[in-house]
Amino acid sequence: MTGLLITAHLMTPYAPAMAGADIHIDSLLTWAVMQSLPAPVFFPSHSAAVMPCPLKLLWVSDAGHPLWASTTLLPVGEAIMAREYWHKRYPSDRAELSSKRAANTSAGRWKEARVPLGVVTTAQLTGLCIGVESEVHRLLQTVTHVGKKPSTGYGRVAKWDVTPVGGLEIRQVLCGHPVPVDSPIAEQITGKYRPSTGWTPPYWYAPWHCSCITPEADR
Amino acid sequence: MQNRYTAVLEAVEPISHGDTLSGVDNSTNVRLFMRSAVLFNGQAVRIPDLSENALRSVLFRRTLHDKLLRQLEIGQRQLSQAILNLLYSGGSMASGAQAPTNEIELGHRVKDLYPSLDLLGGSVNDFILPRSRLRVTCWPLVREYAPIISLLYPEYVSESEKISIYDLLSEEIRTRGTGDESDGNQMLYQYEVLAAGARFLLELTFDEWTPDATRSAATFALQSWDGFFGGQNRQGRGRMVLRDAQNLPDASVYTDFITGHGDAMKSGLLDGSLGTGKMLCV
Repeated sequence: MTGLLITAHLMTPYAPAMAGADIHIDSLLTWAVMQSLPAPVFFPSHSAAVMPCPLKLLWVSDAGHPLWASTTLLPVGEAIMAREYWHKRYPSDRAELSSKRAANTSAGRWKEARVPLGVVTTAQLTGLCIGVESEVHRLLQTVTHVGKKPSTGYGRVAKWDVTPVGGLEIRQVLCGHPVPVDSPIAEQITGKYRPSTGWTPPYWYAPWHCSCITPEADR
Repeated sequence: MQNRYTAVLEAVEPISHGDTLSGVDNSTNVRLFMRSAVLFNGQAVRIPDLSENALRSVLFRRTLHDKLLRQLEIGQRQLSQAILNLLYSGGSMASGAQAPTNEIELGHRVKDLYPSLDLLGGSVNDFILPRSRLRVTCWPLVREYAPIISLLYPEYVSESEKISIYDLLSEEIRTRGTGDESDGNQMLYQYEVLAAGARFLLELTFDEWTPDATRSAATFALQSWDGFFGGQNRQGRGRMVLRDAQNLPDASVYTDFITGHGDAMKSGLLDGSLGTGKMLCV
């Protein structure tokens, strides 16, 4: 395994899951694994089913959840945050097909929605990891979009660059990646304390959240 | 398996397509054309563009479900509001929704029976269907997008570099008369249009596990689309043609699927079960 610099070249703005939310390299890779081979693995003597990942395994929690050696993806250079809107409308012009033609579109179930969507416009996202270069490169080719709303074109990735880099330290390769305070690695780093946050894929899965320290982005 | 397809949308009439950022609170001024953000010369600027959300709705959702209902011989007053909303607007969950424990299984059974819902997704009374298969991206073939287009489609760069999106942008002014009795009280309204001849690169990306019938539904939609996009269609605005579609899946797989599963599809729409045996959408 070698240190790797990951770069995503974006063709459209991307929409983070929530304001300031991160895009994690290990999340993208495990998602890619799941697309091609949806078969979980178990670490010895652990019961949690997790997706394998071609990254260096730094630690396994008592529950069997892995801490992979990877940072979040951060914008390179100019990054402009903006707000777009998408709309959801009741199909009033097709109401003739419905048994009930009246529909209240200002309140209730058929209410029409104007939904704000925070987006970031940037040319590139970059991050670091330690992993198997060829496998990381192969898996990332299947990731065509990052962030929310890929169905409407947000976060379209034109290409991924995977470049070997040497001399990476633990702190560098966990930049922006929450590290459980129970982990011995947490003693080697400083950063922002979060009482409960996701730290292993899938990051959104709240039952696996725990207290973490997040090394700050100082690259 | 090929998961990505491209085509070019070309306007044969000027396009009117209202901006969603400024348009809502801008009722007295010129209705701006839809804009989206792009990095140009190192700065993020909002330039005229087509909304992919609108493209999904107009090219695919509306077209597929108009044709589906026709083919299944479903007519006026036969659908519940929830089904109507699901087909044409992606659906919405009912108040107090509680997903059943087997929501994933039910969702996939719905997607198995309705390729159009597999393609585009939606929500039923109590849960959201598993992720849709189709991702739509669209870029105007203009100078402002040339650096981005060069990343994936260098064959369109020289065409893109020839013209700025602002060379295609102009305004139209219309008059709404109020009758002879109110002489001098005409209402003017004004909106931006992109010129006829404007071209857009349309990219469709499918999920790796997309079934053949679902892929085929996308082709069927493109072939069946009435060719109108955006507003002011009543006076011809937004008429477009699809060109240079390359290697699209065979549309007959989808039409054969409907022929083979028509009875089940129809009864699932009419009773709100969507073929699952449970009343998902009533």
